[in-house]
Amino acid sequence: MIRLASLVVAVAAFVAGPSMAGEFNKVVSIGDKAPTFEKLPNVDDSMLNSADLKNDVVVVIVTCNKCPVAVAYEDRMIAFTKKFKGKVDVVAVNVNAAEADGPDKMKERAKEKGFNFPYVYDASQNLAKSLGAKVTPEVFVFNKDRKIVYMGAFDDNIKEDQVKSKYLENTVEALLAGKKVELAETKAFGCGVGYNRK
Amino acid sequence: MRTAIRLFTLLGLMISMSALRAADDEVVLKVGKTADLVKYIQAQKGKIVIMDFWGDFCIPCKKEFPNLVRLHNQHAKDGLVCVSVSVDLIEDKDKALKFLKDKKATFHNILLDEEPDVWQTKWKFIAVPAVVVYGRDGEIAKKFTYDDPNNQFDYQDVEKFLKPMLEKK
Repeated sequence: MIRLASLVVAVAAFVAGPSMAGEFNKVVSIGDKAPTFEKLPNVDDSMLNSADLKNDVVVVIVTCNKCPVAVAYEDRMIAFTKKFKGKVDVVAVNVNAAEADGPDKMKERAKEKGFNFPYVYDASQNLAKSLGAKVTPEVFVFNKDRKIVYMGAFDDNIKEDQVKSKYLENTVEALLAGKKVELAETKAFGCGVGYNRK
Repeated sequence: MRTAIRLFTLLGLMISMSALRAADDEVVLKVGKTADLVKYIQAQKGKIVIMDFWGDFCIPCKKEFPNLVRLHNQHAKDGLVCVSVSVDLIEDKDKALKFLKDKKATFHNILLDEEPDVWQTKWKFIAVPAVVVYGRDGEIAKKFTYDDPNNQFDYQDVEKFLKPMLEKK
């Protein structure tokens, strides 16, 4: 009887699996190949291609100018980029169509805040769409094989002084140390990304 | 005669101003939790409930919101209960209330003062805008969300779904 119960538990655990890959994302799952991108205009007037990103770890943050949740994370994005400089490529991408989020406003914001990462505009919305991004800000981490290893929130609280779990930082530290990413997917919270309807 | 006209005009003005104030006063924003909202929905069994999750920070939410007000004005008599659910931070309550008053949202409005995870888990969607429709049986009939970039909704989709439900009493 006990042996049967143990077997049932073992099977249940096997079936349940260790992660919730793709549970919150309708388009991609953890372990999927990351989408590539080409010629996305950066706020410094250069063009960015995914092939330009040489570090083992890449962090793509779907964000925008005006969403208060995205704005609340700007300082953290800057601090994160500074902390992992030389080890992680951080790219912020804006796909919102509203005028307040257009390339000119992006340049203003980047300058005002002193963004230390590329802040690119994707008018086609393809990059965010192919990542299944639902809100700004939403974070995606790719490993050296350019597989998606984390997606979701930057951390667990909009208010920086109430953060208990630094999801993104924990993920990146694990990757850089060659360790397993413990929490691969979390729920993001922010402003819904409005995709152009066909 | 002129005095009478002046008096009537003044009276008319006073009546319309108090009517406006009354309409404004009818827009209330309660603060609560998901559990309070669930209780409210359960109490509406027998009616169709349309819950619109929004935030003052959410541009597409605010763009579509007048449709909810219109549905209320047109179909409250048909047993449609409109509910707006703000997921704003509590410190933004005044902004949310201002928007609701501007739009004349004279139905049940609640601001969920809790971690997003609670309502995200309860109704299984991540982003706002989202609309959840409950049937007269008290069960979820349909969810419209922004979670799938390839299948986002607008109120045309919501109304297409609602129409047969409203016609069936």
